[in-house]
Amino acid sequence: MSSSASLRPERGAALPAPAGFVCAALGIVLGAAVLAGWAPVRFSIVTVFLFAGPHNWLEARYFLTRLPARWGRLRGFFLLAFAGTFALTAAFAGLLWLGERDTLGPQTWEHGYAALNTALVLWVALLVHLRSRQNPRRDWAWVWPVAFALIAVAWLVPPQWGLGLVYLHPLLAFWLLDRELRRSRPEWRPAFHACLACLPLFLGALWWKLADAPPLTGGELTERITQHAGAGLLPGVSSHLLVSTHTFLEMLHYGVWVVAIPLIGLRAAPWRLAAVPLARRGAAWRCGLTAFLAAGLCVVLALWACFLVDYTTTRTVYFTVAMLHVLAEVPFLLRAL
Amino acid sequence: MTRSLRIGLPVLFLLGALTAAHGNEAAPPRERVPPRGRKEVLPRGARRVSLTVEVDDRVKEMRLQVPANLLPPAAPTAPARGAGAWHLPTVVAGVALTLSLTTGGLWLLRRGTTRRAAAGALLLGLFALGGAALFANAPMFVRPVPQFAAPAGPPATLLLPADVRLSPNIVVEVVEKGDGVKLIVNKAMLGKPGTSAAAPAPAPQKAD
Repeated sequence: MSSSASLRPERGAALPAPAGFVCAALGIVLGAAVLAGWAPVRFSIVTVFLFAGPHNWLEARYFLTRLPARWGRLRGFFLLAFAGTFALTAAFAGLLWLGERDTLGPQTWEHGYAALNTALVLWVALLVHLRSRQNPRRDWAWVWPVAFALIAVAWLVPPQWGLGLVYLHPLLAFWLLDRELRRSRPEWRPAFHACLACLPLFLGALWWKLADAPPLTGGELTERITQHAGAGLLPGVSSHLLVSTHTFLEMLHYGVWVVAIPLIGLRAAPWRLAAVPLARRGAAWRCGLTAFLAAGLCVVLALWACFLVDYTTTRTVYFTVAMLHVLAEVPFLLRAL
Repeated sequence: MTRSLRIGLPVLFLLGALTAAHGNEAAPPRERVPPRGRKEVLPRGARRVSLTVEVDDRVKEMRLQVPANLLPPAAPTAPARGAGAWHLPTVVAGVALTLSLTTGGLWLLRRGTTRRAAAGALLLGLFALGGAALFANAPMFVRPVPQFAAPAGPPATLLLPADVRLSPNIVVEVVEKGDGVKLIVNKAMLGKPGTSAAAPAPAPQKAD
């Protein structure tokens, strides 16, 4: 037997109107585009420092709200989801660590990376398949041809496939926000869709303005940021343009998780556990969840401290283990569909 | 899934494949006008270096020393592609694409009402993809590299500023250091100024 929390807002609660939502959203998007285009490296440094930790904590808090108290028939789905999330994160981190130490040859590394991406695609496809067999049932058999086609791409161009994940992951948050709006604030959805429709315009303006921008130069940190944005894989594209685009999308991703989802998806303040189904199972569960969230806050504080001590190393380590939250979004998005 | 989507997706696939086919076609050759009043354009990989002639009586044969840094980097050796050789990413990608087409075909056939149209569209898509692969094998347009015209007839003995007669057989050495090409000869190989054109060319020796 599964249960989920009611997301209907309390009557009389002071919430901004759709017009305010549109103004706030477009304001954030415009500000992010201007700053990402004007000073991409500095903007990237500041946004990752400020929001990397908190947005992960808020994601975890949101997932707790969406996790049923008892899994019942969903047991297989959630077991596969959690096992895959942790196993794939550990495998990706291990492979990147071995790559950094030059333990593996380039061909072995590339094959290993493609194999892990294959496992990732199959994991997602299996979750989609399991989800399609839950109520309400859906015909999602198309997932298998799509998954195998993606596996082919992952083997033919492994680095470019990974770069696609880097750029597509920020967009996943919009999908989750859309499902959350459908559930909690359906009257806001048209306004949200209008904002989404404006996004290509902002991206187009960025690309038009920065198409011929000189490449970014700097020390090791700048080099790592440009490499993360794909400068090594797309030599014909300005690194300024790539970093601006990636930073812009990352900022929107952070905005969704730090501002929009807590405002819309959480019924109460993040530290109040009354709306978390697992906390209703008993005092022990409530204590455990409280300890989990407190430990998460400690990790956020520790991340900030590490950023202050050695930003470059901390950023590298963070993006290595950040795969965890990328993968964790998949099963919860599927549950929201 | 709606009926229109069922028909539209294969058509989109077909159009996408056709676009790829044209995108990979060889570009039309462009006529290049030779630049006037500009420095001569060197062919790709060529460099301007100095050539010095050094007289050393200890050498028995002419030696041409070329610094290693002037040589182009060695091309990576391609893996053996014999009958038994196989390339793992290509094999896995091929298997995955096969599975993709198979499962996609099964999915389309299970759709029921529009299965004939969908199967036909899939077949057309396969043909389009084959056409794309055919066009993709067309040679890319490569800018023609200007070639130095070789003089007609057998190699002749040329007169260098140091009155050196170049023989057809020169020992070429690759040395680690240096920025220019060095020709080492002995005094016997030096001729009198202005006489080289009439000098008989030494007979080329057989390579060992």
